[in-house]
Formats: sequence, structure tokens, C-alpha cells
Amino acid sequence: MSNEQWAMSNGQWAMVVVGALLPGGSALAQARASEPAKVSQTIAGAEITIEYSRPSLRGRHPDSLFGTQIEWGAIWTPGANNATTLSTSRTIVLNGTAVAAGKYGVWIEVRRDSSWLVHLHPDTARWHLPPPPRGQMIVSIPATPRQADGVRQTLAWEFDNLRAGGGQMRMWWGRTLLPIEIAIESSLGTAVAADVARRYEGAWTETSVRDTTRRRPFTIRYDTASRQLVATGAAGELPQHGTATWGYILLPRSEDIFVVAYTLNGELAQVPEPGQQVYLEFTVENGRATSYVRRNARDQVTANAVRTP
Amino acid sequence: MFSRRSFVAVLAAPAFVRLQDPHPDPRPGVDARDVMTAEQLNGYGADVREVFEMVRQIPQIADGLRCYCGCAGREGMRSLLTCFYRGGMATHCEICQAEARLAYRRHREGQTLAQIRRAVEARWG
Repeated sequence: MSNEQWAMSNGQWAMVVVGALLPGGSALAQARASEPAKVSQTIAGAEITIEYSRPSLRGRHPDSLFGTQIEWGAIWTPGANNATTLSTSRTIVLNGTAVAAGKYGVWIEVRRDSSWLVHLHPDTARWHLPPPPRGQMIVSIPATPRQADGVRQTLAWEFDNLRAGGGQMRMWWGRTLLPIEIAIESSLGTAVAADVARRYEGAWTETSVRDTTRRRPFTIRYDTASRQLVATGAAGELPQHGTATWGYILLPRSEDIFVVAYTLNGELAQVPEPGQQVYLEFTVENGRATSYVRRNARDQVTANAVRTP
Repeated sequence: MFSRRSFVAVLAAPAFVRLQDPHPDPRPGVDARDVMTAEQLNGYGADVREVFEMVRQIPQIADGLRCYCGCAGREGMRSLLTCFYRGGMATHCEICQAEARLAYRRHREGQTLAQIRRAVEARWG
């Protein structure tokens, strides 16, 4: 081969060098102005996932987003490229509005008076423009934005303040934070009808089967606000840390049978695993519980209880 | 879509909602003739042979219980008792075995079929 054939122009050599340094021809094609992201959180057995693309301020003033870049009254997807989606594996309650299990497109109607609406739409593969008509939305969730402590350059969805029965998800972009409270009913169910609950209310005395001299008070009462049967045992048997107060809650499992779970500051905090659950089984006569037995996870009776005189 | 109040109300009443098939009625005169015998269980562990012996003693109870292992509705699987027939799942299913042990224990305690059903529902329903 002649020297002339081997020779290449400077430009041709530059392309060879650049091509060799690139990780692969497809990498360049995937670079986007707003990269895709996914954030997922499991709460009380419900897996909640938000998929979105993340636009950045890119020099725009953090206070110029809503009301200027995104006009008041606009319906806007909180992301970029494909519309943001929300999926949940179980029914959840967002800012007081129930959302059935499924996947939804997310659209936010931004309003000057801060009475924003988070709309959920059935199309989960929709481009960010144009927004779907308001009349097609499956559910509309009221939400109130507030000013954040700091600035987020890139739009972010995140979960915070997690607890047994819920948490908070929020969108943050620029100086605007949009919190959405999440509430999830325990898969075991906590609510008891008032007329049913009255059967079990009262002061009880448990006697250990293994040591009949061991007695323990157990007081059951019905909390009408939460529609839950809550209970307290002997003083000091549950840990107390500062203002954190543990308690018991009776989760209905079958007629006159409950699983004992735990509350923290009045909220369901811990449900024992199936292999560690303790059951209270009541005997009811003339519409009122007269006794119960406490059974461990192996179905062994560990205590008998009667009403405290 | 639901408001939170109606959402909670749906969950609160009635106290117990049975969303699965109910327990079957035990067949009149049912016995344990089709429960796998000790000879047929040769090679299985002692704990498996023990639970099969328990079921042999309570066929009328076991035939009145729904099995919650997921086999209910499959052809030939009408009750917990049939799980312990040849071709059933009880030789290797922990739920079948645990449910049978509970039923046997409660029967020995003097509980009725209705009480045993509630205990089964509380654990696996």
C-alpha cells in the first residue's frame, strides 16, 4: 500500500480518535435534556412508583416557573418528555382522595390561589403535550404548594415521613414544593363497626396458663374517631421514649378473633409477621364478650382472661 | 371516586367481609377411607405421617373446612380433607398441614366446627 493510501486527512484522524474514545455509538443517541428517573417506595405493603423525566432550571429563575413559564390554569405534567406516571399496587389515599391500584398519567393543574389539582389520567404513554382534557381525568386530588427551604435545580419526586400507615410524597422544583399525604389501610384492616366493638370493651384480667399467679390487666376501648379497638396493658410493659408512646390495637381477623398489633402515638406502627402473631379469641354471650383466650403463633393458649370485677 | 370518609366506611362495615368461597358442608357419613395410609406415606417424615393421622381422626371436621393453600376450586379439591387424599397436596403443603393441625387441636379442645372455621379464617382468610 502506498504512502498516499495510508495518509488520512486531519479531520478523518479526528473522527477516528473521537470514535475510539466514545463508549459506543448508541450512547450519544440516549443523551437527553431531561433524563428519565424512577422512584419507588413501599408503604404498608403498597408499592408506589413514580416514573418521570427530570427537567432542570438551566438558568431560569427558581421563582419564575409557576405563573410564568407554566401559566396559571395550565394542566402540566410534573416532568418532561413522556408524561409522568404514578403506579400503586394497592388502593391508597392521597390528600384524602382514594386512588385504586393501577398506573396513571399524572397532570397538575396549577392555580394562582394555590388550590392546585393533581389529576390522574388513564393514558400512561402520553407525551407531555398537549395535556389531556380535564373531563378525561379519573380522579383529581387537591394539593397545596408551598415554598421550599432551598432550590432544586432539577425536578424531583421523593418520599418522606414514612410510617406504618402512610407517608408523604412530594414534587420539588425550583423553590416550589408540592406535598401529597399518603394514607394506606393496613392489609389486615383496622376498622371495627361500633356496635361490634362494644362487645369487647372494658377492663380485663389475664391469667397466665403456665403460672396462674401471674395476672395482667388489659383494658380495651373503642376509639370512635378511628373506628379502632385499642388496648393498654400493665404500666410500663411497652417502651416509652420521650413523647413516643406505644400501645396495642386489635385487628379484626374473624368473628370474635383479633390479632394484637402495635401503635405508636396512636397510629398503627407494627403488625407482627404471620408466624409471630398473637390472637385474642373472645367468647360472646348475649351480645357481650364474657371471656377470651390469648393464643400464640403456635395456636397455644397462653392466657385466659375474664372481665375485671 | 371515593372520599376518604366513604373509603374508611367501606372498610369498617361489616366487621368481617368474606371475599372467598365459604367453607364446604361436610358430606354426610364422610370418613377417612381415602386419606393416605401410613403405608402410602412410607418415606415421608414423621411430622407428615403425624398430621395425616390427625386428619384420619377428624374427617367430618376436615371435610367442613376450606383449604386456604390455594387449591380450593381445583378439580377434586373440595375441602381440607381431600387435600389428604392420594394426589392431594398435603404431603408437601405447609398450609394444608398447619390448618389440619389447628383443626385437630381445636377439636380436641372441644370446639365446634363453627369455632374451628373462625379460627382457620383468622389465620389464613
